[in-house]
Amino acid sequence: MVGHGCTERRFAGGRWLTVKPGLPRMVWRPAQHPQVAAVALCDAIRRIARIAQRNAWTLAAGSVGLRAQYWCLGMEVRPDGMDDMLFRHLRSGNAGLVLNDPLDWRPLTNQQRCARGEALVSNRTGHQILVGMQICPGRPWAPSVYLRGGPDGLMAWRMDVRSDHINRRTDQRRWRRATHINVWRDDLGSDKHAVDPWFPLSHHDSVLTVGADDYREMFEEFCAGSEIMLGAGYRWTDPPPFPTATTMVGGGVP
Amino acid sequence: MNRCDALADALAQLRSDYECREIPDDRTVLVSTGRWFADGASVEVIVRWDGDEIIVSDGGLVTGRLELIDFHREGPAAKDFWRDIASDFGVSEIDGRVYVRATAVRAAEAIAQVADAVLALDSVRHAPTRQKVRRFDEKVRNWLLEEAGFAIWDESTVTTVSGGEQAVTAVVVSERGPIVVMSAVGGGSSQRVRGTEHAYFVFSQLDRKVWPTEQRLTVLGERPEAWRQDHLAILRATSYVGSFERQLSLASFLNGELLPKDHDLITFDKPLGI
Repeated sequence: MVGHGCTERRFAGGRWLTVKPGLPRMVWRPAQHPQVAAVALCDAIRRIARIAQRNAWTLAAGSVGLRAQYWCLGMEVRPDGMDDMLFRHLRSGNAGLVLNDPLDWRPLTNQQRCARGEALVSNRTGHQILVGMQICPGRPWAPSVYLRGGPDGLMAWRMDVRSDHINRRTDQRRWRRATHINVWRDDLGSDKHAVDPWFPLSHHDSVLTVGADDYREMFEEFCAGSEIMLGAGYRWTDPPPFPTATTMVGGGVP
Repeated sequence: MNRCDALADALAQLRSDYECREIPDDRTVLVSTGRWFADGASVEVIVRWDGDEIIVSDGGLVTGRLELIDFHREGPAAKDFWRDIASDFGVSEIDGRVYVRATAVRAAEAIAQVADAVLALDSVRHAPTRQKVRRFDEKVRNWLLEEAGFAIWDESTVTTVSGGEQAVTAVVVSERGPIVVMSAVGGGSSQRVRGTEHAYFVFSQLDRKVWPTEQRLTVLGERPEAWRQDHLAILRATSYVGSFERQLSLASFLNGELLPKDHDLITFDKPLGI
């Protein structure tokens, strides 16, 4: 018992901390966080559990909630939902990302000209994380697939298919109609620095023909490369069909 | 040797940025324009032949970029900027696509016209939107309920010293009594002035016997460092002042764990739980 109703059990790799049965446990390795008191971690677990319950988030037993680390280390969680620490955690592959829902494609309206499908990804970061895909009718061969923090949040990374990009503010690398991934950096935001995809992709950048199967393949390869497990509740849904734009004097606008 | 010869390679490189590529539609090609957005994405236009004319369009490039960051250009400022820029560049719009029609011999001008318009139109993302202002209230309420775990009154109104009803962002239920929360968004200097004036106006109307300073909180929006010190001083005279970017401090204040004498929850740093 370490106080505040929190129990502690030692094991070879560290200690388990449990607030009460049924709530997530946290693996605590004092060597990693020497400045954090066990009582503070228990308080963080309690807070995370409360948020998770309110938002129906999944927190795997035994996971280290990233938000707990923020609290314990006295750091503020950015309101826009992304920073280097969360980015690193997501990229580490230890965030327990699971997609259990189909993409929810929003209807095209006068205000929404591009098709966008999003779904919540359960995770063990203590943050709301979404995966999504956007396809614009004028450029159907160049969709974007992304992972972002919360519905108003910024993107952790975004794969731009068959697009140009130049890393103006970093290494000056250029992509010429080539698939690249814009990655989050605290100093640059979410779309100024790109890297090559770090996972295999089946599509060819030189072939611009696309259909629903291609979108599905791109999306699922992005999920695999982003360590997002496709759960039993996931199934692919096609984006809505695009209307054709016609000018007043005739002729379709591309 | 001409002095311009020294730039021959650079100019050749710039020219190489213009590129044409066929796309699946056999009337249409994709053209790189040698122009780049600030974030490093390139400006490409789509050219379609329509009899003796061509239609040059951005293919919804700007619209797609704005939608990707959830920027809605229906706000009055953004809408006006968009309309004025499109008008100045002489481009039309249909279904989110910016375009011009021209004779085929004017292709170069039309491509440049649309590409330049696209670069300018993309800057509307910096225009303030009414929606953002409204949504900050919702963000604060959502944070209080969902993340910080506080209960709030169903009705976000309080009674003023003169007996009238005044709308506020939220009234938080706490162990030390109800706490009035006002949000003040700070996207631009004029918004910060309005936010300061509004919060000050609301708190000035509340009876200090009913609502002592310890039960008043102003939550600032983005970039608290951008607020003028004299405005912060005015706000601190009527309430505690915190920032939405410092949620730990806000929660500590609402829990009664953090009540600095200067009413400043922005620079006072005390992490929760330690």
